[in-house]
Amino acid sequence: MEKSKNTSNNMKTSLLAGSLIFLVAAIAEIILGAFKMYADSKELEEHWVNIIPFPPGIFPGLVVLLIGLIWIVGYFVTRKGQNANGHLSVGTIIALGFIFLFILILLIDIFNAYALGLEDYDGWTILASLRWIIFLSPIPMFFTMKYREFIFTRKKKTIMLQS
Amino acid sequence: MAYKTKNVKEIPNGGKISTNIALAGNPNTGKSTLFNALTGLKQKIGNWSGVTVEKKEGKRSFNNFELSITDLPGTYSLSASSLDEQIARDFIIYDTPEIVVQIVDASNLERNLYLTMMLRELGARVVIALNMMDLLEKDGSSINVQKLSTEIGIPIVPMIANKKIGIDDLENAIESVYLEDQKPMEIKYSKEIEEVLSTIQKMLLSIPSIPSSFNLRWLAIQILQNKSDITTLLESWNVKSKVIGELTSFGKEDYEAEIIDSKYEYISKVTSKVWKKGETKVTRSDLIDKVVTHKWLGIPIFLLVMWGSFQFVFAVSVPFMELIDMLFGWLSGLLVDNIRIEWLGSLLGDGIVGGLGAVLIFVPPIFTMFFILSILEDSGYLARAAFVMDKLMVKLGLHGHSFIPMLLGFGCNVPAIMSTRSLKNNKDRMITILINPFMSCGARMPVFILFAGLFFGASAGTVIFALYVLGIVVAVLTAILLRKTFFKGESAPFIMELPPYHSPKLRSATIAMWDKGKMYLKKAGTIILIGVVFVWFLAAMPFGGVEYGGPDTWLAAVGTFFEPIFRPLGFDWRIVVALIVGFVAKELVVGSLGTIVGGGESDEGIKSAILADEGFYALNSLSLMVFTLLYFPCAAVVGVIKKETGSWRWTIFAIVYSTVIAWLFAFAVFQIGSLMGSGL
Repeated sequence: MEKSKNTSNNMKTSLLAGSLIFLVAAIAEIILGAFKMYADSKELEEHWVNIIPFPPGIFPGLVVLLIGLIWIVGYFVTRKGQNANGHLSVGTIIALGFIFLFILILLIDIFNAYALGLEDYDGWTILASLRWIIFLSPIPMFFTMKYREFIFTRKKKTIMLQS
Repeated sequence: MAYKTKNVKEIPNGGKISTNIALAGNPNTGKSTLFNALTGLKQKIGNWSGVTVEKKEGKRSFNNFELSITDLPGTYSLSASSLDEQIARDFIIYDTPEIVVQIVDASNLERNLYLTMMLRELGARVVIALNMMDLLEKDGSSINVQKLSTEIGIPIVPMIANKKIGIDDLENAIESVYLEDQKPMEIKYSKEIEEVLSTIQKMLLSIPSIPSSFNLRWLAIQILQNKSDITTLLESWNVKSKVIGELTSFGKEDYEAEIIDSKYEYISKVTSKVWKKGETKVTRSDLIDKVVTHKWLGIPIFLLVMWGSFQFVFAVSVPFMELIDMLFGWLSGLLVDNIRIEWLGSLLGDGIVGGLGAVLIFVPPIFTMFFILSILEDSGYLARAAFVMDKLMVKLGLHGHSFIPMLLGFGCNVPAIMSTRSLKNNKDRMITILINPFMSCGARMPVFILFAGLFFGASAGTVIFALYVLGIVVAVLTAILLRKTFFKGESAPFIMELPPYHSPKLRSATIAMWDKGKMYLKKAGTIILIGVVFVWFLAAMPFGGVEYGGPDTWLAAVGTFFEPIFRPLGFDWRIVVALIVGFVAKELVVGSLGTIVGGGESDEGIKSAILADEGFYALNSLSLMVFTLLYFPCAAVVGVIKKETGSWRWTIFAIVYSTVIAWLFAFAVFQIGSLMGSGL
């Protein structure tokens, strides 16, 4: 009973902290992404928008925002004493899905740049693609390790049938 | 023609027994999974209801048996209320398969047994495949299979079809049912109903044209339930209209309700003896559903998943596209450089290899997209997407079930339009058919990838995503328009079972990807090949003295004739020709451009040619993508619209309406963009 209560409290704290970090980051990402889009269209210098440690962009910002929203809704659900495992799982799985996507893009970028030698990749560096992964990974990874049993079910055993 | 009491059969000495069985059952119970497991075929499987809308045939041999197996669309009863249910019902009643294997979802026993009662009452010889036993166990529930079998008098085989567990037992059960007799079940109704049934049966008995083998009690029950198609059946036996009138006068809705109640009462009695419910607990699926079907989070999550999917498609396919491009570039160069007859070199290099290369280069993104859609479908998420969108669609006066064919339309509009057969209300069905071509099928993807990649760089994935969203928006607006004009009235209620989440199976996703993608490859080898040769011919004619694809060719003559209509959209005659050729197959738009623009021997060549050409720039490319998204459907889709609506009027409407809408949207994009000096 006590253990369950502790887990619930821990989850509540994790959801609140995780969601706040993601929400703040998302807002910065979206605002700076919008500035960047404007700067690009007017061919202005846009280096100053790169003040955040990940590439600004509206759509990636919306991804982070939604994950943050799912977790914050989860936090309020736990405050009502209800089960928020679903919120934790869905937010984390979406984040892991995007981390997987960005790792895949990184590998493909490496292939395109070094194996195929595509012109589009002139001046490209691994760090450019890594920034997103570095930013997005820590919190979902922490959640995955800490709440593994909620996020991933154990492998089902095969049952034997007898007619 | 009908079920009759069978005599016990014997296996011929050393001979083979050829017989036919049907797989029937409620939607989403795993019929197609079992069909694939039995036949080794690769019929599409979906983790939602309504995947099978036509019957499918396959074969299996075991012991002395050679089975012809028919997989039927899902049906809850034999009183068909939609076209796919009617297909299943008619096959069972009129084609009389030797044995009906009913797939029953073990975790939903009571509802599934209703169909069993109907089949047994009809006199069909039934074996129950009690599927999804793993889910039942997970739920903590249990079924006393032996007792259930004794209660309803038919063999029951517990199974987990997706793991091929229970197949051998099912074969044994089929064999024993084939060899033994199985009498029709007679559910006892109230005294009043039984008396009327008896009267009707006597009357039917006196009609000599009714086949003696027909189960008269079942027929009497149908008459009593006032079934609308019973008159047609009686007429088919040349029963006089006066007699039909007398018989149908027995039908009352009150009787129907009482008959249904009696069946459920019987089922309830049986299940109470055999079914032990597990402890009610909140499942993982329930918890996830609380989030993904949340009233505020549900739609954003769906959009996010789709956006991520398109990013994935775009990212994964680029290196493969580059490799294919290199291959075709090398091949084309080889042909052009080494064939001394100039026109033949041009035909093979510019025409066939150039045109085909321009189409085949898009195999990787199309296959990747089908793979992702299959993963989403297999996991059970797409069913949630339909559920989430239903709330929005109902608010817009649409039907939630329409969203499923719309989602399928992302793959190909042909099967998507066919899947509307599961819609019960004809008005809903017509609207769904007519809006489906606005869902961007895979064949339009090459145009998007080429032009978004060329002119929108890192935002290409986002542009493509926006185009898909635009397709959905136009489809929804069209549906509202149709609902308020031609198809006024209420929608049928949307009832959809949310299947439990499954871990997507790599094998079934790969099979689904291949099944859908091979259509594209087949088209490349047939219709597209002919198309690109035809375009090459027009681009090279008249022979001698004209520049290939130049302004003096026959192709240019066709294009320039229509060009004035499309000039306000920013299109020159070459784009016009490519769009017209796209009626044959949408893939031909890029294939034709590859042939016309020159540099068609490789994707890189087309890209360079387009970038160097003043006739192509970002704004008219955007306008072209919007037009390609919305304009008239390809010939195959037109054919299926005609088939499914049964009306040339609505088919022509679909062609004209979509083209006008496409023109208006492309016009708006180009003109507004020009006015804003968009910098594109």
